[in-house]
Amino acid sequence: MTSVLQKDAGKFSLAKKVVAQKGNKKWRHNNLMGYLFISPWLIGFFTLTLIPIAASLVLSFTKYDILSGDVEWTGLENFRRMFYDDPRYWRAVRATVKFAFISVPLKLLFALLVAELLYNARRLVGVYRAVYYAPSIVGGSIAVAVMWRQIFASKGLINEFMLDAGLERKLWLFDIKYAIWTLILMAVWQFGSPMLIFLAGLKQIPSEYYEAASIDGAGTVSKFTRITLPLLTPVIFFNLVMQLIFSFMTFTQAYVVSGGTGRPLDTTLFYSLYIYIRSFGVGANMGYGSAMAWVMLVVIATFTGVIFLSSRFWVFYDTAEN
Amino acid sequence: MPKGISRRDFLRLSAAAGAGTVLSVYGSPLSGLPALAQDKVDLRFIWWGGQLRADITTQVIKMFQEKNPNVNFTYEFLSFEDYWTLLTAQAAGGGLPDIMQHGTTTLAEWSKKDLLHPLDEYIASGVIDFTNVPEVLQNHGKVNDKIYAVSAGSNANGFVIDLDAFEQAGIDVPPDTWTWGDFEEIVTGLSENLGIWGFGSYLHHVDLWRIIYSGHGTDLYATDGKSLAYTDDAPIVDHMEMVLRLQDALAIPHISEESEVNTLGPEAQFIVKGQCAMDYLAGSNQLVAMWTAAGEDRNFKIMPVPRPEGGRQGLAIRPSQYEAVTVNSENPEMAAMFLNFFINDVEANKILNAERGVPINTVVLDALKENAAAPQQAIYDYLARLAEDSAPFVFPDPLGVEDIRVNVYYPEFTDPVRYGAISPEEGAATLREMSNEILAEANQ
Repeated sequence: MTSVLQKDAGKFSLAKKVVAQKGNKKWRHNNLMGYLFISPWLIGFFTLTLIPIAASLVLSFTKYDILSGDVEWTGLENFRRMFYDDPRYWRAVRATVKFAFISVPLKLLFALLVAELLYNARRLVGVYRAVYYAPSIVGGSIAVAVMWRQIFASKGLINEFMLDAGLERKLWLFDIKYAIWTLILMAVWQFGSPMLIFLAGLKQIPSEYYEAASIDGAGTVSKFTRITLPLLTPVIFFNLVMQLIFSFMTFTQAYVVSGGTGRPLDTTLFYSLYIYIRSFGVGANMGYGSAMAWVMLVVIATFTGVIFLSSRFWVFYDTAEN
Repeated sequence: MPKGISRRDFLRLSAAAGAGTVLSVYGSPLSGLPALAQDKVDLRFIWWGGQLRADITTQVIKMFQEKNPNVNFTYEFLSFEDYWTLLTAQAAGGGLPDIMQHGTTTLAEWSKKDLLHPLDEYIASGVIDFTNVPEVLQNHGKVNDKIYAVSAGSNANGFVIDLDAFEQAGIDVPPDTWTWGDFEEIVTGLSENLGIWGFGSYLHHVDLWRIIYSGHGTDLYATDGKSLAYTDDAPIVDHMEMVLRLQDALAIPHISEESEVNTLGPEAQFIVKGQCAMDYLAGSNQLVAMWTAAGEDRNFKIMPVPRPEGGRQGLAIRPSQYEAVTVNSENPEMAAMFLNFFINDVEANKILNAERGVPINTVVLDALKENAAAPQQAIYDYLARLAEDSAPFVFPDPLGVEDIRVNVYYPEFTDPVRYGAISPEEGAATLREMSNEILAEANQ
C-alpha cells in the first residue's frame, strides 16, 4: 500500500509543478478542487495522527493520570524509571526482540521459498497466490487471534492431535517455553505479503541470465545462489525493513492470545502491549506510555538506519538497466 | 503491492474499514442517535460479571422499566479486567455510564478523583431509602465523609469445599478455626486419596496477602497509606513456600494449568467439574454462580480461609461490590432511584437472589431467607458464622492498591515464584519494596 500512496504523491507533486508553470485561473481552480477532495484525508492526518504524535512527545515528559486528568511535568523521570526502575520494561524489550529476530528471518525464508515454488508453477498460479496471501490479510485481526488461542488451548485442536498421536498434551499458551512460539508461528504463517513482493522481484530477473547459466552448466542450486539471490537483494532489503518494523509493533496477536497480560511470566509481553497496559490499564499513566512509545520510535529508526547503512555491502542494484 | 486492486477499490475498502471501526467503537450504530421522545430519560448501566449475573440483572432492569416507562435503559456487561480497561477510557473521555459497579479499592480511588456523584442528597431526601439498612453497612460506601455508593451485598473471601469429595476421601470436614498446617495436610490427603487436586486455583490470590497478615494481627497498609504496615516478609514467604510444596507434589494445579481458568470467573473454576475437592472463593457471593454451573446435585460448604498457628481469623466481612452513580450522569436522581430499587425492592431481590452478596436491607434479607436455595443458604450460614469471629473491615484503602495488584503482586511476586523463576524470599522483598514506592508516590 505504501508504495501505491508514494506513487500517487509523486503524481501530485508533478501536477503541482505543471500548475505553477501554467499559473492560469483554471489550473488554480483545479488545484483548489484537488485539495478539497483530499481534505478529508488531510484533516484526518492532522487531527488524528500529527497532533496526537506531537502531544505524545510532550506527554512523555509528564505524569498524566487519565482517570483524574491531572498532568504533572516530571522531566526525564519517565525515562529514568523505564531504564533503571522497571523490571517489566526490560522483559517487554526481551520478548519483543526475541519475537522480531526469530519471526522475521523465518517469515522471509518461508516467503521466498513459496514465491520460488509459485514462480515455477504452471497451473492454478492465481489460486495458489490468493490462498497463500489470504492469511496476511486476515492475520492481524482479532478473529484470527481468537482462533489461534482456541487451537492452542489446553483442550484445543493441537492437543487433540497430540493425544491421537500418543503424545502428552501441552499447555502451549501457558508454558514459558512454548508461549512465544505460538505467536512466532502465527507471524510466519502470515508470509503472504512478502511472498507477493518476492514473486514480483523474481519476475523482474531477466530469463537470459538463467539461460546463459544453463549453457555454462550451472545447476539449480548455483543458479539460485549466484543469480536469483544477488538480483533479489533489493527486494529482500525492502521486505526486511518492512517486516522488522511490523514485528516491533505487533500488538493484537499478543493482546488476544495472552488475554492482555503478556502471560506466561511476561514472555509474550510485547513492547506495544506493555505500552497499552501502562497507558490504559490499572494505574494508567499516559505519560509513561508516551515515553515508552518514543523510545520505540528511536529504536526502530536506529534498526532501520543500521540496515540501510549495511545495505551498501550486501544489496546489489542492477544499475545497467537504468 | 497487489496490482489487481485499483485505487478506487482501495479507497472504497479503506472507507468501509474506517466506517466499521467507528461503528464498533460506538457499540451499536443506533446508540448515538438522540432519543425520539422528548420526555425520555436515558440511563446506562455497566457491570462486570458472568452470564448468570447478566441474566438476572437484565431482568431487574426490565422490572424497573415497567415501573418507570419513561426510562430508556441501556446496559453492558464485561469480564472484570476488560471492564476496568473500558471504564478507565470512558472516564478519560467524560463518557462514563450513569451507573457503574465498583470494588472496595476502586471506589476509594474513583471518589477521591471526583469521578463519582455523592449520594448524600438522595439519601437525605429519601430517594435512596436506608431505613432498613444497618448503619455500619450504609457507611461501607463512605469516603471522606460522603457516601459515594451503595453496597450491592455483603460477602467475605473463603474456601469452598466439596462435601461429597471429603466423604469419599474419608477426611473429616475441619472446624472453622483450622490452621494453614491443617490445610496443607488436608489438601495432600484429598489429592492422594481421590487422585484429583486437593485444592483448585488461586492459592496465591492477592486478597490472601492481607488475610494472612491480618491473621498475624497486622494490617496490610500503614494508617497514613504511604507504605505497607509490615517489614517482616516471613508470613507471605511461608505461604508461598507451602504453595510451592503443594504444586511440586501435584496436590494443586501448576500455575500454567490454572492460568487458563483464572480469568474466566467462578463458573470456570476447577471444582465445578469435580477436578479438585476444594477451591478458592474470591467472594462468598460467587458460590451462587459456581453452584449453578456445577449442578444442583452437588454439596458445597464455605470454609473460612485458614489462620496461622496461634493467630486470629484474618477475614473481614465487606461489600462484595458497590453500585455508584458517576459524575457524567445527566440524570443522577433517576440513577439513584434505580439504586434504591436495586437494594430495597423485595421482588427485584428475589431475582438477584444474593448473587452480588448478602442483601444489606434486613427486610429484603428476611424475605429471601424464607425460601433460600442451597447456595444462598450456604452463604447466609457462612456469613453468620463469620460474623462472630472476623477481622474489622478496613476502608478506604490508600491510593495505588490496584496498581500494586496488577503491576506488582502477580507479575513480580506470585507468578515468577510459582513458575520457579525466583525464590519466595526474593519475590516477597521485591513486592514489599515496589509496593512501598507506589504507596509513597500515590499518597503524598
